[in-house]
Amino acid sequence: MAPSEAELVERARRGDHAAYGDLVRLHEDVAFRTAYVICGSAADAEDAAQEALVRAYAALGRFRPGAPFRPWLLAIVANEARNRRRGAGRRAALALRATEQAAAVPDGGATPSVEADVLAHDERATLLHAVEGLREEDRLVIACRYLLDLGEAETAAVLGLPQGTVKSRLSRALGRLRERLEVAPA
Amino acid sequence: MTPDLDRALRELATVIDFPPTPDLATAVERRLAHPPAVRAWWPRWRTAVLVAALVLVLAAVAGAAAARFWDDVPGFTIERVELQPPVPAGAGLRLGREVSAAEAAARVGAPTPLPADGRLGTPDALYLASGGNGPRVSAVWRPRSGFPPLLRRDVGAILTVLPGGTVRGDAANKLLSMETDVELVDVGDGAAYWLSGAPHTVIFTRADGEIAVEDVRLAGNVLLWQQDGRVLRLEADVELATALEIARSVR
Repeated sequence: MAPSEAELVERARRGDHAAYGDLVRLHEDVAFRTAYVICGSAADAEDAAQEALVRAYAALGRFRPGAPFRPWLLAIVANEARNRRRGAGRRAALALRATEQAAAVPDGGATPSVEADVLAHDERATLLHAVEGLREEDRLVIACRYLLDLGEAETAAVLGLPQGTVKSRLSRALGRLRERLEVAPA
Repeated sequence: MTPDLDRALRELATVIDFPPTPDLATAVERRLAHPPAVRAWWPRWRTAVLVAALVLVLAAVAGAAAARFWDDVPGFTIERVELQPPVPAGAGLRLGREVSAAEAAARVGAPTPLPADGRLGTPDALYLASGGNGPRVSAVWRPRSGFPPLLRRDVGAILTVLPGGTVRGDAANKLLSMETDVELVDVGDGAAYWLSGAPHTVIFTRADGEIAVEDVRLAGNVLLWQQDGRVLRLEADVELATALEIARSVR
């Protein structure tokens, strides 16, 4: 049976590099993507995530056993990504794109027509453009909650905010996104 | 918030095309296994100056006394720093996890086909990545005679073996509208293409065998062919004739 995350953390705290490698494998996708939405560049995100993961290993002694590991790790990744972006002295753009492929059709669902598919694609592109046009704090909170599918506690850890503030900031960001969509050309 | 916007954002999340996640775990494990030497608080050039000054002082006193003096200098040590472990060829190209030939063969179920042509020789590193159709193996050679570095990286050639799939001519033709030259060539047991030109257009084959254009990797010339039910992709900054000779020697 595969060891649990808590077991991997405990082994990594005792200096087991392989256990820490397994732990990283569990979270490398979300760690890299978190760094990417902050840095806006895949190369910077890779550097930031890797550096953060090495730092997190060194900081494992300060990790409280039994606490959720992912928010703790993502906070370190986000911090490193912010430092890197500041060092680069530029504003990060999301630079994301929606895949050309339509989302999978749910079981039992009708296959969408080509026209419907094209319309859906256009709508997604418009929405993505509107998200990218938001100011950074709005963009990041939406990216965390929706694009990275992070929970409130994880979003709070990534953004370095109290959990309650995440809720209000998200609400305001969605309001501004709606305004942008209302004035966006059809 | 309106349910529509919430739903639209959730749907957007399902189709967002994030860059592929690099193999961070292997890189981190390697760094933990070989931590860099700790930088001294005292810059090395100052140490060198101090050493030189001390040598001059020492030269002025008797040898035996100098030796005693040297032994007695408090807090003065000469640090021996080990060389950093060599970085494997192709590291950082997101080719997957570095593996041994045995592990690659075990995962794929057959030895990795490699060129018998002596100009490349044994690969400097093998990488394994998961693909939609199964594991993909990439063999990487460092630059060598006739195989210059690709985009100033420490890589002279990459041979990627994709499981199954076919090279489709109609997909390749789409590339003609871009600044990439596509030439039908004769190698392997199916359609084969030589893709050259456009230094910043990179061609790859999807797991289903179709040709597609992706982010810049190394931007060398690419030979794409089929052999024994697999798709092979050779990338190197070489002429077509050389690429064909290498490809035809692959066993």
